[in-house]
Amino acid sequence: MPNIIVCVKHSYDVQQLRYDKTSRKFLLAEAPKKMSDMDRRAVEEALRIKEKHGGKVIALTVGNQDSIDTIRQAYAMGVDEGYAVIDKDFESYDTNNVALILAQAIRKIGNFDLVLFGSASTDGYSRQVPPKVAMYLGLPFINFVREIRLEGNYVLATSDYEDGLYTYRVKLPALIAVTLDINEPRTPTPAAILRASRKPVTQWTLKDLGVGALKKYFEVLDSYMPETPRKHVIFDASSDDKIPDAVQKLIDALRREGVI
Amino acid sequence: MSTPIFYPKDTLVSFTKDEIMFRESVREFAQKYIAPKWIEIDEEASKDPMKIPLDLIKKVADQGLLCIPCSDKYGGQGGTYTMATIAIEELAYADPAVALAVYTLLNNGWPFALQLFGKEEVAQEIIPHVSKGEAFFGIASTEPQGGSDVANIRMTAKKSGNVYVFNGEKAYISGVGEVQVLPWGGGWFLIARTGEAGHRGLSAFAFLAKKNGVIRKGWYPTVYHDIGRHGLTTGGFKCENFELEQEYLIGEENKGFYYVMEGFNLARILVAAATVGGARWLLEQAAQWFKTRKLFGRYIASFQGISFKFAELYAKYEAARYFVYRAARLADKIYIEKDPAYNPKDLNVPVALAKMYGPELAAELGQEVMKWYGAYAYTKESPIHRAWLGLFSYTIGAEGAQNIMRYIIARDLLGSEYVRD
Repeated sequence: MPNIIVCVKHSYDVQQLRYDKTSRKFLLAEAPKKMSDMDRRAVEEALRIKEKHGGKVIALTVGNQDSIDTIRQAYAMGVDEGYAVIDKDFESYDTNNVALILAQAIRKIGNFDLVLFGSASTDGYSRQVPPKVAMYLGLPFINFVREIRLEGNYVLATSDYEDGLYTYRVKLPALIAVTLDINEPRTPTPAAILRASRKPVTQWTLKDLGVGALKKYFEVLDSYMPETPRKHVIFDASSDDKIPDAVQKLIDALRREGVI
Repeated sequence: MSTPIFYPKDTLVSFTKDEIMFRESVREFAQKYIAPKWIEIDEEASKDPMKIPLDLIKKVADQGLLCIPCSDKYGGQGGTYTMATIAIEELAYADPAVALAVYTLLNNGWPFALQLFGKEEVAQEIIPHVSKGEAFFGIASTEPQGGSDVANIRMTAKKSGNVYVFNGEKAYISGVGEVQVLPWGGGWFLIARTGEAGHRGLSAFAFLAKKNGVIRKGWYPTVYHDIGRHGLTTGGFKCENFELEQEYLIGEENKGFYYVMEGFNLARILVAAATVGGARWLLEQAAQWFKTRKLFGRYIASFQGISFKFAELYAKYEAARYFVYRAARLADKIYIEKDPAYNPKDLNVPVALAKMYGPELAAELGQEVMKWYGAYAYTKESPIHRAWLGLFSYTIGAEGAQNIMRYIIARDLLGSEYVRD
């Protein structure tokens, strides 16, 4: 019966993210947050594995105080235990820092067979945290996974790379990062949401994990909405006889842009 | 396709974290399973009202959206009335013809009224089946001679030994088809005459026309052809010596008028929530149109005849939404939190405001959006008329006519002695 730790991020809901029209900077202070989309799939997959094989599903996050909301969401979906590493400076950490903190938390939880992640977070989308956690923990790592099967002490995971599907078989414990294609996550019922708000979330600080000063390897200097200027080229195809000429001009223009 | 509007920030109509998570959950569910199907359901059931979307009813049940405020000991969700309101608003946003929203609201409001006023064992028998989507439980009050004049209901229920024997007719009742096709069956919170003339001679019953999959003797249903909101049946039924065991009497004999009035208050909040959800869909249809449609070389919203009307209707939408959630919060104070500072009569005016305002806003908005879209809206290819016709039905009746709402508001604010003949 596998014990599964699922790492979840409390991400900005990018679909509701607005930006200042002049500076083009994101209005982060007012942006709603939610569990990262791929992480939700990871929770769903863990719950499906539990439904089939038994065991326990544990949700873990690192973030600001509000990241506890994401653990509550995981509880509403059906996880058994929830942990949150809370640090007010979380937004300033790079992916190495986050990976190190998560690795320490996973060690402290202990007794796990599988660690699941979403391959990328909805907001940062760096895709760097899962492989770095695997590195810190010395675990085999499979990325971009769209199918998971457990067979005894082994896990079979099918990865979707652009040139094809690859199925890997590795011995547990292992770390797997999943994509949006792996499943359709469940939507919690009212009763499950109400139960979730009564469940305890274990909160740790960096000190609890024995994590000292964190060295930053890189820093995000700026993030803004890029401008996408349009050329507004119009080809006249207003009558049948003009269509062949318009089509030819369209093809020429697309060639000039290098898109065909 | 609709364009989401960046709605203004709000602190007056605000929600708890649980409620926000619940809204996200319902919205995702409804957009995934209901939004892609509502037009097909509306079209198919317009030809044959018995084309009831049983698969979606089951999905709604599995998602825990029926019997939300009912206790978990009856298989309910143990939630709040505000949660039920959120669910109905989101379902109507996904299905603005409101068939599924109204199915869901009836099977929240009336099972909850049964829990409040009915016998424990009857609630335990019926609510779990409603909650699982195996049975329907709505309201049967209206009769062929009218619906608003509840005190003069004619259907009789005469006590004979251990049973009540029903004779008479109900008309314009939601769920007449659903009761017949759902596996367990179900029925209505039904009001019938057991005593003297007037409202003091009425009793309420958990009237099961079908139970354990068997339609009971003496019940003769008819399903009507409505002009909109297809996918939820409306019909009538005759009772000819229909026998119902006495335990299905709700509360005390001859007190049914009072129970049904409280039940109406609860259900009206959800009716108004459905019209607000449908109105949001209509607003976003308008926004989509305004961002693409040009006339005389200008976007049509640059004509103030259009943009000012849009602004006015938006103001009404916000007001309707405020009325709805204020009423839902009050219902929670009274029935969920059981706060002694509030009593059921406190709901009368807030609920009547919501039920008066929401349907009228939605119907007016639907009509305006039809005009803004022009001739395309008058074709069957456009979905807007489906929303308009579905929402319009709630300006006619359903849990109380619009002028009854006006009467309640005036009566409670001025005192009944000044508003009666």
